[in-house]
Amino acid sequence: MDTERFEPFKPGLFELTDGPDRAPRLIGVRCQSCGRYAFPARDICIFCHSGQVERTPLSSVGVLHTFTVCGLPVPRMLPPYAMGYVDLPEGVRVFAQLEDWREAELEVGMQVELCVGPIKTGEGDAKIVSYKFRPKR
Amino acid sequence: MREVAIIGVGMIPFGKFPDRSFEELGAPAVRQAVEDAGIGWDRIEVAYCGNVIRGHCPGQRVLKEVGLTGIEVVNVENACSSGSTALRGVWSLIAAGVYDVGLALGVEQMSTQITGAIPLDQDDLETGQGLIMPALYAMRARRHMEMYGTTREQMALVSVKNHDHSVHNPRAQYHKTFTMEQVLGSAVICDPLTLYQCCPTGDGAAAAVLCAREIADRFRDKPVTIAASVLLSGATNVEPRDLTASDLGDRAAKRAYEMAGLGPEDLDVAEVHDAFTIGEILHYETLGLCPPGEGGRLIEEGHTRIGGRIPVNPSGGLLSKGHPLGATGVAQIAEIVWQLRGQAGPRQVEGARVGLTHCMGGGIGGVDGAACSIHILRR
Repeated sequence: MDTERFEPFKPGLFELTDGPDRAPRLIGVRCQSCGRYAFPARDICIFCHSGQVERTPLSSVGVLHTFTVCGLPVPRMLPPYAMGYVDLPEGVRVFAQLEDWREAELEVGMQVELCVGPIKTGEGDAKIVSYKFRPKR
Repeated sequence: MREVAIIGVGMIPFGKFPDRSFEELGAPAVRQAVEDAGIGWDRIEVAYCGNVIRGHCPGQRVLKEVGLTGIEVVNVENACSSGSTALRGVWSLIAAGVYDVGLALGVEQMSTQITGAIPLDQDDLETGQGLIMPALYAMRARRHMEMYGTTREQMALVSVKNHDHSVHNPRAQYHKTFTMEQVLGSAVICDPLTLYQCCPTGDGAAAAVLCAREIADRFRDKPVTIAASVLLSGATNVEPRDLTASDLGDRAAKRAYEMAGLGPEDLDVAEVHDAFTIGEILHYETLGLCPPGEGGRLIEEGHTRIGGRIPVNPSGGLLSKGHPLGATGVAQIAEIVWQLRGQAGPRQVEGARVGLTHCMGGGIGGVDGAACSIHILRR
């Protein structure tokens, strides 16, 4: 990852863990009042409006609820690109582009795991990087 | 709250007009509506303008071209529901007794700036990571196919029907018919949606003159009245929700039927938000035209074609009439007014007395829709 310029999409959405593989994890919040999880992390619970929320990592494996492949040119995106909604065990649904996919193998209900990869182009020749999901093999 | 009538409507043919200025699109629509109303220009006390991409004061820019100046003017943006939002704004002020007469205008000049998918906010969590409107609807389509067995052919039929309808609409952007094979064989945009299953970009304008019901008889015999006006926003959808349904659409529909004191079975005709074919099928279910999951069957059995039980999009819909963003909501109103007055010519729904317009707009991450607006009209 050191021959091209990479920039994160937005700060505070995910972190890399300390282990040798530096696995990513999403940073969500859990409300201490109503117990619900949400992503991305905000300082207020969007369900019960309590300010008693704590940041917490979310599970990195989920279920692909639905997906599509986009073939047409979209400004700054890198077609063809696949994207989907992933349901995590905490009751959170996350939108993300997919990584390492083959159209024929994408299926509603498949297990997917969190990873990091380029999602679009940025200033100059920079690639913008964000969390993505790939088929769990 | 007073009853409000629509006494005049106007609409220019939709299409791609890169050489026409923004004002040149809007002014004729306003003139048509005011002339159709047969009301003096000086009677109009307020105007709302729905527009998405123009920027500063689109309403005033158009209205000065027809000499309608000095009045209260409000410019509103609610994505694809901007025009409906404008109509609701005028409705609410007349219903509340603030004014007696007002104008709602919807106008968009987008062909010079947008080709292909509408670019959405690059900082938004979902659209900034590649979600575009056809992709969102494609993903909902996949869920509908998964849950209910809806087929690609059923979705394509929406495009076939709406293109067939627009043959009889001189104001539609397109008049060409397609076979199901041609629809399915057109370029894949976001699977399963193909090119002819997505509405075009285009330019256009539509306008409506509203007044208090109690003075409407001076201008129109048996005026069309507004039985319901609803505008709601989407709820945050971080928790998993059913993508084949729309919480926003369901709430808006329920409120509209309650306001009008009637149910989906009372509708004679509807103009709904068919930006994508699957959208029309989803909206059948949201509006209660059929039970959840049966939208594919409803179109397949011909019930929503002109001549069927509940004709939907006799104008050709967004798919074939076109979708200049700000203009659409008011154009839907114009079509229903023409239908209820018996002025729709070869696309007339026989005996139409009650009609509904439905708009669903906005691509923002985390909500199932930014703005849904429903109006029920009666004559």
